[in-house]
Amino acid sequence: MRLVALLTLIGLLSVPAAALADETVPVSSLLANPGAFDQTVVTVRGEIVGDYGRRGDIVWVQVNDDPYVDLPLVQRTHPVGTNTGIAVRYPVAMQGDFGRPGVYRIRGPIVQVTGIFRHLDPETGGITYIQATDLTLLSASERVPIPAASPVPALVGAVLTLGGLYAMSRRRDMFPFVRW
Amino acid sequence: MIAFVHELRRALRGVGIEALVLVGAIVFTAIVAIVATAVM
Amino acid sequence: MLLRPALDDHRSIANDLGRIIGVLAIAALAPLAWAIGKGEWASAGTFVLLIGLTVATAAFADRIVPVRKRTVNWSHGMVVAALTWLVVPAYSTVPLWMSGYYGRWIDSYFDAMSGLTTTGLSLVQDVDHMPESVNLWRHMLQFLGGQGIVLAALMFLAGSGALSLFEGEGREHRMFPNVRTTARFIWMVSAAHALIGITILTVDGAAGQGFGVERAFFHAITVFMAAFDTGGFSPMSTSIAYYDSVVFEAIVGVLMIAGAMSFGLHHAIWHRRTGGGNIEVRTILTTLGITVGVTVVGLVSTGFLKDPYSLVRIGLFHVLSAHSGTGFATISTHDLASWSGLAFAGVAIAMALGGMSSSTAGGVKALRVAVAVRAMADTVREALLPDGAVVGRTYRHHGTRRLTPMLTRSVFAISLLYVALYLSGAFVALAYGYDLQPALFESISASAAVGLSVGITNPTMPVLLEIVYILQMWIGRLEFIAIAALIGFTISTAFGK
Repeated sequence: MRLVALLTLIGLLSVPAAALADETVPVSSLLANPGAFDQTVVTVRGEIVGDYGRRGDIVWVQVNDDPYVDLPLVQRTHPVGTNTGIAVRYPVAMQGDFGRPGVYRIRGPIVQVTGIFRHLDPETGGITYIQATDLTLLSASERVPIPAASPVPALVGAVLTLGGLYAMSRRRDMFPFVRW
Repeated sequence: MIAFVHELRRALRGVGIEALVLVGAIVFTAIVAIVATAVM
Repeated sequence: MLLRPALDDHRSIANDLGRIIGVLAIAALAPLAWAIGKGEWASAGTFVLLIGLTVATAAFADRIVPVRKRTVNWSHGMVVAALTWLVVPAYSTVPLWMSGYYGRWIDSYFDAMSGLTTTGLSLVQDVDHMPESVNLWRHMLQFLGGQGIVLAALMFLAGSGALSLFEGEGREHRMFPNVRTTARFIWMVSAAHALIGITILTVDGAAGQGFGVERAFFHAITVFMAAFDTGGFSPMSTSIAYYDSVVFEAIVGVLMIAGAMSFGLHHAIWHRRTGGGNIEVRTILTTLGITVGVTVVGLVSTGFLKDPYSLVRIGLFHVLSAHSGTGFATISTHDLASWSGLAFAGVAIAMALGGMSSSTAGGVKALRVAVAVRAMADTVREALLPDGAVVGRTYRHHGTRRLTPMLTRSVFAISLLYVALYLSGAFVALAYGYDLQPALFESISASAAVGLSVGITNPTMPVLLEIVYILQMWIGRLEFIAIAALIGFTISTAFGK
């Protein structure tokens, strides 16, 4: 029994920690069960959205890994849920030419982030984030093509506005024969 | 316009007081937090 | 015997509603301009459509519903206020629903109601990729609802029915001899805070967070409106956690405090009239202190947070967010849902009590809490004193006022109605199988127009529960009386002779 335990222990110790962490974790798992991942190395794949935040030599971003990463909402017929994002902090040195973070009509850079997940980190006053040790660009930011906007709403709106303004500018009742 | 600038000075005083309230709240919370973490 | 309202009563209501809806057209110009500037053509079209619909409605009410005799009574104003808060959200959904970022139309109505009532619960999907103009519109609804669409309409409306319109909104305090100048002061305070707040947030965004100036400005405008109007929408899906910044949170904290302050208090500060103390201010500072204390102790005892820095940063922020009725969060929904025991109690009570009266905050409101506590103390004193001794009490609130039995009765009645509202929403969620703690939390959040969520509010939520929260936001905002007036009016229209 002791021999089996010893062999298992040796087996476990010989697996490098980095290899164990190469399995990508969904952000939703990190959010749903933060205690299990706290202070461990995790790998996340997702889209950088919003803005690059920069203070001194630290960059921080929000990385989303919801279904919109691979198929943006503007190319879908209906939404498929809310965003799931996690904060990631990395040194400026890791910043490459990733392109604009994701906003309307722009799918942000898709990256793979490996780092230490910190939940309610006391050092930073309770922030939950991944302290990146490795940041790999998988796909640079790109503009998402969308169909041309239909002029119908604007036309209908314009007609209604002009008609309404005209009606209000008249000094007498437009339709005196209308009775309720 | 000039009236608005005049009101802006009052507004700045108001914002100053609001900031003071926040500072007071921070100090109060800090005291409670320090005591709580020390005792519990 | 029920008296059916005259046709002119209905016409008066339609007329006033039309004018108020017309104000929406002016408000929509801002996001329209933003959409054109950013080349968001699809969104621009929806704003033009919204303007058209609102102008057409206003014109219809103005021209085709001629009013021979204007109704100027109290209940008319109440009915208009109640209907305004049902109808205006419906128009506001046009750009939201047509953007494609909502699952069902009722979800966009939910967001519109949430915005206008400055609640802040949201069912938007993929907000991180939303067109800026539509996101701006979401946040502008909070500014409109907070400063009161009715206020704006009042500035253009004549007639003494205007005062009850004002009261129908739940604002009791009259600072000026007439409603018009009160409205103007409220707009002035808001505009001044907007100038200061947006500037500081933009500078912090650009210099402190390293955002580009354009984006910093967008974040500043949206967050300002959500903070000062104690709304709680945010332009990004991670709320204020997105900014990863103590400085940003502090600025937001100041704005939340400003938003929870009554306009009477703003007036007193602006005109240096603070003499004699104010029972409402003392009460809210006390309840804030108590709820902060309870929450911090709860966070430590449950082990959620263990160091003073985090306790101050996260504990204070969320209690302030709850008490002011804003609803911003710097932790995930899951983390907030895990706050149990005293931490839950502190935040829930802060939400339930609410901000000051005559502000954009919701809840029972500090003035009622103050009067209720004073009345309860009086009752105890009377019981202890010899028979026949009468306790006549006054309280300080912009002058000395008498604590009359009628005032006491009304305060207790409304407070209990709020409790009933909180509980009924919780019952419905319980019926759907949610646990008591989240059910109660979310119900209070909706009814008190807070907007903190522990996860029940999401696009997959049951539609009936969604409708219940919509009704709670509506009822909570109007403080019951206007709703009762509307119900009475409807019944007498249907069954009266």
